[in-house]
Amino acid sequence: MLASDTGALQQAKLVLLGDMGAGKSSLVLRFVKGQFFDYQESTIGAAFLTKTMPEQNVKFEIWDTAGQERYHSLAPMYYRGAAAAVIVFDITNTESLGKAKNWVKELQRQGNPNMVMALAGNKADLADARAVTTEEAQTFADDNNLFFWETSAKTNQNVLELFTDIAQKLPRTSAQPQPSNAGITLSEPPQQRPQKSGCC
Amino acid sequence: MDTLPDAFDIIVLGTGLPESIVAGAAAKAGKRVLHLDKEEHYGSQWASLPLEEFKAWSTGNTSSPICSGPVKLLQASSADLGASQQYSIDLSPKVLFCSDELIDAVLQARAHNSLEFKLLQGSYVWSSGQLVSIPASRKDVFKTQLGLADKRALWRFLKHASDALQGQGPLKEAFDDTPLVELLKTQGLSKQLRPSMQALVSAAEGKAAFARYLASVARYGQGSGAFLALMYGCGELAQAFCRVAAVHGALTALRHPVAALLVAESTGRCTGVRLATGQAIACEGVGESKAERDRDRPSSLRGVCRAVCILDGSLHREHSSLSIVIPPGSVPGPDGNPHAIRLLQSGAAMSVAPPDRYVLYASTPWTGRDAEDALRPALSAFSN
Repeated sequence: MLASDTGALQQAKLVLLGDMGAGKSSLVLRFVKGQFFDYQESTIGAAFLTKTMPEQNVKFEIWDTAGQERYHSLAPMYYRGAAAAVIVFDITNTESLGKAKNWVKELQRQGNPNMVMALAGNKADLADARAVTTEEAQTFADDNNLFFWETSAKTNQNVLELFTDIAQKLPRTSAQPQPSNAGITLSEPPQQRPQKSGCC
Repeated sequence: MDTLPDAFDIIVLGTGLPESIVAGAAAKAGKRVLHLDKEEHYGSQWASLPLEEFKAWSTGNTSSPICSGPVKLLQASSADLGASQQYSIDLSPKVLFCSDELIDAVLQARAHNSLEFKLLQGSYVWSSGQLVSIPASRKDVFKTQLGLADKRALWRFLKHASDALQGQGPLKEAFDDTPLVELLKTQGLSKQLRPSMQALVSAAEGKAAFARYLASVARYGQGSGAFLALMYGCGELAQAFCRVAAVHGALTALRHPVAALLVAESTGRCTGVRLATGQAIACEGVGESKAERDRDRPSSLRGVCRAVCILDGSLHREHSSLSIVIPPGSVPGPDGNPHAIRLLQSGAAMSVAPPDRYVLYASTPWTGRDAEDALRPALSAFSN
């Protein structure tokens, strides 16, 4: 446990993929802010959210797709360098599982090979309208080495469990950036830098 | 697939760097933006592609604005190149000055959160069969293998130049009035040294270029170098601005070719586009890159010979990312090189190639010779 020895938080980029309306933003909002809205608008204006899990010593940097998935035009930069991905589908919508399967394929082809991948069957509170059985999703998850949770952003079912699970499965040592290999983050030239650090 | 909405304020065609900056700026300003690209990938002529896609592009896309001539694929050995997906090959390779205006644009658009840069590890000039390091700071001058007199002359020149840019010191007038080549001579820089100083600023000679260089050197710490390169290749830059646009509400759609621009007969103004699918979309304005629009017209642009090479070893013992300038006339052989040849190497540390493989870009102005004839002698000089 290198990270806890030094007390340094491990930063991990986390991305969510899935059909429009599967509940990606709702899951993130529930996890990060503890909020849920019945009519969550398509996300505009939020590029990143961060959430620290001190007990796991992890700081998640969570990227929003910014709606680019709508016309199957998600930029590869979105999942580059991601330590973890949550592929979300809606258990009341068979088609959304099909879309999730395509995303898993794309990540396996293009993504970071050490990426931790989770499948989330969201809207588990809508049991009456269920169209995807737990068994079917579980079998797909097992076949593709994903771990699987049925979640509800609305009732908060398994949301924390999902993200805790991801945090615990992150490869610890390899994820620590080697100083010689670390990129530089751009910043304003010193004379223009504001006194207080702004929020990003 | 969903059909697109029927009306926007602005439609931007193509996801190259200029188009993406426009899309990002318009969306940030509150315009309803539709951002279309006919290709499968982001970046238009600014894209970075995996190896197989790059090969397909280079053989099948000779009408592209940046690739109008014939393309040859040469295989020197049967060595395994590694996984195609681990490559990210730039169609328009570029390193940035740390103080480049583009860096400021990235910061202003808040696109920097999604980009990762690294400093280029070294800048060299090819001189008498050797790589001579271009010092990145006055302190660096003393680490170079120059003679004592050269070190002193160079140190003094860099100090005076830096003073002159602030309107002080003995060179403050000379810097405005004298071409750099002359200035270097009068300041006692030896023949061996002059090319390395000129190479720094040869893109646009003079005070402004030198000022940019000195500002670049200092920006991310003394002695760190003046050039930035992008992790995963230059294509990330365009993608970052596309992301800014999308985050501010722009709709992005790849694989959507436009068949025609719709123009109002009475006013001559563009009122929309018709997609290849037949759908008409209305807008107030259309943004398109000039290079893309003029692709079928005869061009007065000067041509460039280019080569992209995959290497199984670095050109430098310690560095994997570096630039090399080969000054005019320094390649042996009957034809030599009438113009400078620029090399840029990058590798796994920049996530643009598999481990132990490097991508090398070579370019020189076109003088009527085939690119292979123009560049091979220089590349051969490095191969042993």
